[in-house]
Amino acid sequence: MNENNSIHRVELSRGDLLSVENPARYVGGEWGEVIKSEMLRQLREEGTTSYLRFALCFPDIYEIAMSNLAMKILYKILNDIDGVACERAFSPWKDMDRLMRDKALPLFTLETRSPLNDFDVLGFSLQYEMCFTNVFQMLDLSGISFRASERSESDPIVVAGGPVVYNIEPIAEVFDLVFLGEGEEVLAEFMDLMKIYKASARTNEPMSKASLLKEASKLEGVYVPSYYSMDYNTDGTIKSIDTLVEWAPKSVRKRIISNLDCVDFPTNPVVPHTKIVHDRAYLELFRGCSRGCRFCQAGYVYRPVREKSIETLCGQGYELEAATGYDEIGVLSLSTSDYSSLPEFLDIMVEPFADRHTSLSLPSLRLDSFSLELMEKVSGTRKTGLTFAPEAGTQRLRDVINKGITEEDIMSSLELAFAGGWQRVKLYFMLGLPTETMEDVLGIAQIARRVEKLFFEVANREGLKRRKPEIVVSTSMFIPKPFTPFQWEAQDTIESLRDKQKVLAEALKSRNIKYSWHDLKTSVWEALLARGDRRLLDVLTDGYRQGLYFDAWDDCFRYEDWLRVLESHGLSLDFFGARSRGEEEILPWDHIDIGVRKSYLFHERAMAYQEKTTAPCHGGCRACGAAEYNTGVCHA
Amino acid sequence: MLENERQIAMTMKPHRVAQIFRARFARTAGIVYIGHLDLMRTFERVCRRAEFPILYSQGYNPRPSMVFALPLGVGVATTSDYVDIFLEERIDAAIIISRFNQFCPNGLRLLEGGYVSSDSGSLMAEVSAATYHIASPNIREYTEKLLQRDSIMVMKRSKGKMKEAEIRDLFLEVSQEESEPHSISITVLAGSSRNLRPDLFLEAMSELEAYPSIDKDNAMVTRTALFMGEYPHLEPLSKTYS
Repeated sequence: MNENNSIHRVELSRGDLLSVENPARYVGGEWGEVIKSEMLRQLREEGTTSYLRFALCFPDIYEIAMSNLAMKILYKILNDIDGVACERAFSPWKDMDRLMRDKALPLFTLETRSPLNDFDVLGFSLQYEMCFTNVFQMLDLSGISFRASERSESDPIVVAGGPVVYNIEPIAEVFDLVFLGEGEEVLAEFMDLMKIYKASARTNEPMSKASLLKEASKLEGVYVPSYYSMDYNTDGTIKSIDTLVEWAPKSVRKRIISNLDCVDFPTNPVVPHTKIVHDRAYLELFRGCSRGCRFCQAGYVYRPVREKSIETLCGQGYELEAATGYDEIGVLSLSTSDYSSLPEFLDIMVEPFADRHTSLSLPSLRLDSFSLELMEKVSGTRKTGLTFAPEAGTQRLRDVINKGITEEDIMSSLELAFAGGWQRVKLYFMLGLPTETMEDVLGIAQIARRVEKLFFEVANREGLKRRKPEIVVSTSMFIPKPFTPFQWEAQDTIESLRDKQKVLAEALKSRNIKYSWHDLKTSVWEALLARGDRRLLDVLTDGYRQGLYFDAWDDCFRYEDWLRVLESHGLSLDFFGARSRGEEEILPWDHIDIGVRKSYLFHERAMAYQEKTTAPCHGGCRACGAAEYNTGVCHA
Repeated sequence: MLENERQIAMTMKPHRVAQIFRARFARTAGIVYIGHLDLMRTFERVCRRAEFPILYSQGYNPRPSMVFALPLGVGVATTSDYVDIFLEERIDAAIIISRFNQFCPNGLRLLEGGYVSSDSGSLMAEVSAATYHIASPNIREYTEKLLQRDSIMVMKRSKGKMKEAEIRDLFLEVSQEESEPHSISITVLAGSSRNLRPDLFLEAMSELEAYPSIDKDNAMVTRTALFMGEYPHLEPLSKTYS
């Protein structure tokens, strides 16, 4: 492979690869991988390339990164641009991380095994807060400074995007710029600018990074963190968010795709050699969700709801199935049942797929008699588990969070399901929701008990003797997120949550009910990151230097160590988590504009405290502000 | 009564006669680092992309019907492995090979193949021996020393437990090319009853002859032949379709 030394190639020996868990993570070469041969030729013959080299980075391991739809979309969009070569780089797992440090090997891309330093742009896709420290890992292994201000003109431009960037403040200063919202169009525009920037480097008057950022900041959806500074009050709250250059907008607006039928969708994505977390092809139905559950960030930041036409969807579905060879196509959206042409879509797709032994999976279905029929249709005779997410144990609390599901909805669907032969039910709830009392907690047990009782009633009636239900109750800890009506709320404490879990576990005791819960400490740390400000950057880099990363992995996350680091910087967990914010308080993300107004969110919060629900968008506009985008459900 | 009905229904079901295409394939480059299950999955997906009329297994979770001669270890390349692909109808061998190669990832390649009769023995049961080409510094000298022993005992994982096993009698032949002083070819018993994995051979050399472990770990191992029949009357598996 060493045809020429002018190509930097990170060499791993057979012994290296065989010494780590699942070496397939590091070898690339999968079906659908894109390598631009002209770029390789240039590198070989000239030692340099006119191609814009973009390293698409995901700060977690291969199996997680390759399961992510945004990665597939961006990989396609970027590689479809003439003169751009996009390659993938992921977090090496701890064994490979150690090996690379021991042997002083830099982090590399899968396509050409080039070190990240050889790239013009490093683009991080950030999907969850707990991956922040792995951004440091990837930069560190590449010998690249963490802060944008510490990097030179010759370093790659480091950018980020993804759902977490609506409050990227804890690590904002790492990035030269951040893409807010959907990336398909703005990335292409940014690549045009990058081409000019790169070409100018060969002239007498190279464009500076500063002027590149200035030009980029004019694109809708581009946020340049270095244009803003935060001033703090003595109590730690934000005094002001100031712009540092005159051309910086007071607030930066997220970008969306107006018409999903007009952007390319990856129907020929990379098909991994090795089993990944979600080992199937993905078809995206629509973006946004009109339900307005008050705890759900996705429900607000992806507004307005925009559907793909059924024609586009079916065409992409067929292409996807044929091009990948996957035998399972997952349809993806925040609420599958809300897709307006779902029955027609399934009528068209299910049969031809079944003939080819391809199944459709439909996650995020709201369960009712209609969706049960759908599930029969797509899964044939297979009766896998049913999942409900009532989120709260009483109708009162469900009204508070605006979860439009009643106990009767659950029971009537389950009655049909049990009669139809289903026996496994999963029920998801959150503990620690605003206004929650012990009555709400016990309400969870009452629902589970009713489900159990219902099963035996139906079983007796239908003559299904000797069968038992398997009911799993799962609780997670409520995490207040930015850009939700609960962004001002205090998070419940671990101590209080433990009591609630104990009471619930006692009330759930039954041989047919299993109770499982998420780790509370993880949720507390996630809450801190979700609503954190720029003072956390020192904390996070400090923790990273002490070996704290892979925080998204329960067995790697070291809560007590993190608390120690946090306190050593004079910051407290309670300030970020267990503190309710006033209406007037400046929030770290106030200079970011998702289209939904802060005043609307505050109004929704008031509605929550009045235990009043808000109907979905379909029934009429609730004037949240997203209508300014004048598309999708808002355009009607 | 119900039992009876089912029996009748089953006998009435048209019996599906599979066309069995036996293919010889090679794997090199990055894809040598995937395990056997991943390789099987990759083959299934290639066949689906190539739109072969592949036969699916019956039952709860139908899978494309395919049988591999002998699993390949992670990190082991091959120039001569075999797979039986079960098809609903006969397709020209040249078309299968070219379509497969058009839709398969880098490093994987069908080389040749042909149809075998459906009553011929199972591909897995046919395998009796394999040849491995191993390239690594000074491997000749160490192999010679190792094979001078009457007994070669190694620790082998069996059903989750480490057990001592005798492997001396698994070696059939050793050969070497003049042009490649740092490589060797060993022909060893292979298959479901008695099988020597090349990593076990390297392990034994490291344990018993102090072969440097860095060389052991980096040795390039390639399976170059699979045989049927009883030694010394070995015949390549390709005999079954040509």
